[in-house]
Amino acid sequence: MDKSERSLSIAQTAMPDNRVSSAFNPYIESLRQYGASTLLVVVALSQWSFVKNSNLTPWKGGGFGMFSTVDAGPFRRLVYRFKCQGIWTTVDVDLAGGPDLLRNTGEIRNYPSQDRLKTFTEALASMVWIRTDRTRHEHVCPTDHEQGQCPLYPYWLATTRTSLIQATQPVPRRSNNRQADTHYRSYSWSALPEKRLPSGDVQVVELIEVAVEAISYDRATRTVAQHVVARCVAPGLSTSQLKARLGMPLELGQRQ
Amino acid sequence: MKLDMVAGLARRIRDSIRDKLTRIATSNTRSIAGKLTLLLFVLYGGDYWDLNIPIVIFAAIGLVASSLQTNGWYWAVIVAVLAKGSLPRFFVLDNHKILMIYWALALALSATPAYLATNARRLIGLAFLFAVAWKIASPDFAEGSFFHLTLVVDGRFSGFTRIVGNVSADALASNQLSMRDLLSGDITSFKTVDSPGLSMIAVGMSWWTLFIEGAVAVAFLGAGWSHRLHCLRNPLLILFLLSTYAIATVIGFGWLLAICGYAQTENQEKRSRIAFLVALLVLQLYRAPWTQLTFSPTT
Repeated sequence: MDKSERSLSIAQTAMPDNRVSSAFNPYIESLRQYGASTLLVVVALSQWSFVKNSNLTPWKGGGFGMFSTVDAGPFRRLVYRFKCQGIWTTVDVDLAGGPDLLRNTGEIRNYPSQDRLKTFTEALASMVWIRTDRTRHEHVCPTDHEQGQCPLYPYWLATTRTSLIQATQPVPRRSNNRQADTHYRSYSWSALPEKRLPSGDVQVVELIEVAVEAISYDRATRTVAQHVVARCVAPGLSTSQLKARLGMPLELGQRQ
Repeated sequence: MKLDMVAGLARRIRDSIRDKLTRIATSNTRSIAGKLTLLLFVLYGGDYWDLNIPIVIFAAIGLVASSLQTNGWYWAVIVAVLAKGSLPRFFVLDNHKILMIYWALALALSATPAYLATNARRLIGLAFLFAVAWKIASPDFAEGSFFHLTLVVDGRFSGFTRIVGNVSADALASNQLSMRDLLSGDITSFKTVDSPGLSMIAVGMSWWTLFIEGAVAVAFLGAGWSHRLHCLRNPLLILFLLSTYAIATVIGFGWLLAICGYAQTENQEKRSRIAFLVALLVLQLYRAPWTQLTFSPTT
């Protein structure tokens, strides 16, 4: 053992862990001894509160409850229901054209407090929606589609005014002219990635409901089921709002 | 003649290893813990580029410039980088990523190895205390539902489930497919497929986890009051590391706990120091694809 190691060893032996060397400032001394563990305790208690009061999964937000429950983030899912022409339909949505708030669905799944879910749902409701009726598995898993094993689902794309404005000027106008109408479509969606070009139409969505579902497991019957953790409903854009958003004159297209 | 040469060579190698281990066991724990923590950040720093790139750069600088490894201000910068990258993702990150921040903070605040040992002991004890509290409070943990479902649908446990639980690969694939369908909304519920003994294994795993985590929490938090707990704390943490991460291969978490465990050892606990360092290496072996090595593709 060299000299420095020996002196260190003596210093450690002389200073038991709960009576470390005295410092000039007692506050700094306390910070050195308790700073990190106090932060841990604060986070742990906050996490407990968030889980009990705001639907946070115990696996996140400090995460001391990981490996304690089946209610983990990956086992939660967002369910979107749209009300169009008085009919509620559960739909799949593609938020690739949406803002960051909507693309980060992992965060809202893990922590769907009422405030956060309301903000999320209202952001969804403020978007322009296009129904494409493409199959989900065509999008997710081409192999399944080729084998003909997937049912047809309504499939919805979200877009924003920003994505429309990003298209080449001038701002497109809808008209009764069929050719111009076609031009409007291909022109308007050009801001979206090529493979996502939709083949459907802009829809008026009266209400949008977003629900967060978690799983539960009954070991006796070996059954995995789902239950709703949180849900929120928000009104969608009216026809006039939709036209204003898309830059369409009110006298053209569908009149109110 | 040749035998004497081989014996002499073996003796020299043995002495050299013993000498190195003695040096490691008696050297500055704060310096070695700092070095290992930086290596941890390089290997398991984060999945997000804006967190991973700066932390790897700072960690690499610290690994090269050894004087930084015990510099509180350097660790304060590391804490700031970790916090900046982690706080916006606080509700998405795994808990050991958050634990890395507490640990980096402990390294920043601890001026001596004794301070670091105190902080490491408290962090380990409290982390295990809250983990046990959650498991006791969770209705689906103690009665085995959590582990039962995890064993049959979580791919990270597939190897263990097949080897110990005797569940076929087809059954596991079927469960995982059903779970995918449930989460995509194609079905509203499903029944899992398993083997007759799996339920008991799940209950056993639940109680073992409660026991070992509770024991680690009590031993580390009570080490200052009881000599027996003080002596038990290191073997219990090593037992936890070697038993838990063989099944749940979250190696970054295991490394963090092993480094904290190493940092809180005392000078006379040389064997424990070496055991924690060996545990770091053993945890790496757990990353091997043991399931594929055990089972041929056709079974």
